[in-house]
Amino acid sequence: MKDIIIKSGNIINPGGEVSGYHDIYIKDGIIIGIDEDNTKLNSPIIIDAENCIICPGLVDLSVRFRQPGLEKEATILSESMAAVSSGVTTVCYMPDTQPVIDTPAQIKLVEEIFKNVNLCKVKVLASLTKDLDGNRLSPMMELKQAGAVGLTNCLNPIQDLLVLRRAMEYASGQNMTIFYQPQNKYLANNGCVHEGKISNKLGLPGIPSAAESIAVAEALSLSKLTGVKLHLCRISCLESIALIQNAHSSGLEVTCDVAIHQLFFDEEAINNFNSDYHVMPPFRSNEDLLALKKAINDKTITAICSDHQPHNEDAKQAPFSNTQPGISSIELLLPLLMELVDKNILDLETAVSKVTSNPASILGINSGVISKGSPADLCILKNKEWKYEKSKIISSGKNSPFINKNFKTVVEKTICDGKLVYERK
Amino acid sequence: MNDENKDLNNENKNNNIVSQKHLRHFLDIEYLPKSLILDILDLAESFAGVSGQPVKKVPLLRGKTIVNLFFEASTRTRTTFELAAKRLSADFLNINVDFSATKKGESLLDTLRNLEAMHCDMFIVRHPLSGAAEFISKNVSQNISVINAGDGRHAHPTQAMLDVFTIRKYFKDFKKIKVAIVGDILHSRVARSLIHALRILEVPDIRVIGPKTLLPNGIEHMGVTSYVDMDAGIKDCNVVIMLRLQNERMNSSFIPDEHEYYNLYGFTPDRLQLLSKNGIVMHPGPVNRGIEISSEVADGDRSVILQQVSNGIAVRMAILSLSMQPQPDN
Repeated sequence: MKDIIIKSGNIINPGGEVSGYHDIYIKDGIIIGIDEDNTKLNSPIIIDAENCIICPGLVDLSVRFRQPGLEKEATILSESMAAVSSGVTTVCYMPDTQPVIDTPAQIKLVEEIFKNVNLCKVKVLASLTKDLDGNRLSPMMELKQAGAVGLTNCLNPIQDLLVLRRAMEYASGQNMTIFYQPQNKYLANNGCVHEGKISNKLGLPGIPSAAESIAVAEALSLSKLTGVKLHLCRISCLESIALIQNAHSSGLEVTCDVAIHQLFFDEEAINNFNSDYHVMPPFRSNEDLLALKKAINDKTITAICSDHQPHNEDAKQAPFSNTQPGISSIELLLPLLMELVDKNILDLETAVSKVTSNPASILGINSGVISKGSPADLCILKNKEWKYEKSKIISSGKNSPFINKNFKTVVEKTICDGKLVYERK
Repeated sequence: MNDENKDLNNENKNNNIVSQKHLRHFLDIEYLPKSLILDILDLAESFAGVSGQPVKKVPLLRGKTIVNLFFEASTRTRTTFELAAKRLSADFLNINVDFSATKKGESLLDTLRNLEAMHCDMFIVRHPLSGAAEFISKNVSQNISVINAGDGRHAHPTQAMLDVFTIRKYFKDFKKIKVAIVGDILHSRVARSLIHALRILEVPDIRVIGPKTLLPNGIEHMGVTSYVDMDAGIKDCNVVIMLRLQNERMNSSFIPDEHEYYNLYGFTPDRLQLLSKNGIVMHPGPVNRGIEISSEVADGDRSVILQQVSNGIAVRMAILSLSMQPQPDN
């Protein structure tokens, strides 16, 4: 591995002390110094980052790379290439693969593939219940020892509250965080869009906001009862935000995230049955969209993730309710985030914190900051206009409502553990 | 949603029409101009005479092949489309897909490709999923027209057209009438399309009536007033359209039982006096006698239910012929 010096970049580092214009020195995958002389380095690569921003490598709290089991849709290799093109250096892997990640061997398998691909790093969330069935607890201690950084039941939230209570109690005993995507399945009732103006007009089965907020309220109460560390995933409506704010003011240390695309669209996007806008949770009302934008600013929403879900073309080629939900979005995580900055929805420091230091601290990992002695995970970006064209998508999933959209920020280079893993051509 | 993101989603919402006079497909009422709706009604009026002639055929669509592609059971709609096509001298094929092909694993898209290979000119589609007709219209080749014969809960535009055609027979001026739709609005594609049609025709007072479980949240956005009380809802109405109550609604806690439903929303003879003096009662069929309407009312002199069926043929003839006209170069 070559040593690297990154010169003259503007460091944006909300989770650390270093910021502003400095040179970064990297040796053996570690940041060994800021603005030091280079005598310690052995014929280093010199990267000129003038007019560039340098931020910590992104930590993405939710990705699906489809491996093992659904390699026809995507692989860890194809999606890792997409991830590093957006400055992502650590991904949080969802356990709803085939088979489900509920044994130490499954975790090892995924970690092994990432190691061989050698582009970005992985942190695995293991299944909270065996086979995500919502009834039988997974062997949490064994999963933790094998490397799981948390537990989740993905899009099958546990409906039996007694099981959820016990899962939380047990996880709390093992000091593990539960990543809970709140949705009451009875109220969701196989819906595919937000229940409101558009569901009503198009005659599509709707999911009321209450299906989410009720599950949030349940999870918050049980978190208080059991003392488990709770992270709420993919919040989509203002009622949930109010409940979380309430919990914060009563002293409960709950964190939550939002998918990046939820900050760009509301229910109106679905007006012509375009299945690229089929996501779960669904795009909600304009009031919800405004509330989400406000809540990423006022610290209610701790992190922003890509919620990357690549699909093959067939998955979106059917009448709306028969299509698969999800957007292939990891390549746009950073460009979309920077658009929020350009539009003054977020300031740059806050924006960067939502995809670096904050998610790293939710996962409890040593990442997401630039400091002496920490792993050299870095993203170098600059202002440059470009267009997201279908033919140039790196991910195997071309399912995106953002195709043909113009962006103003590009990722120039991505460094993961001191290795240059992406360089814009 | 900001403007730029709206641009990302700027596919032509009006997939139905190629100009103010020509139909490309017939998928939905919502974006049709009023003038075109009136043109269809006028054309239907001229076709209504054909059924009374000894030779019930006009040669407008001779040499064209029309396929009834039904993924869901239907008698009335399927038959009236078939008669309409035959009276226009088209070759006609009935295909009941019945999800059987889909059950074997064939995707909807593959089913379409196969039918396309048979060189048809028009698909008349009924499908249990909302948006299916629109999806099909986007995935067939340029020369094929798609007519929506009902998609999920979304739209049933030809039914709405025949309903307004029937209404016009009794009330010449849409701007002066009150219309109520009663029953399971939530699951009803008929109600949605009819509301659009009535709104475009500038009916000033459109009401929907039903238990709150069957009135969708936000229905007011469509420009209607909702009522839970049937008597208040139908009071002084010129037209009341009764919707069929599906049996399965009873088992999924939408309503307690048939008996209570009939008491609350059944059209009984004594409710007739609440209507305006010349008020009429309609029903898209099939009728559940003794559940949403009494036999006395269904068969009584205020009922126009069977006329709706007859009118269905003329209206569908008009829509088929307008959609099959040579398309302007575009």
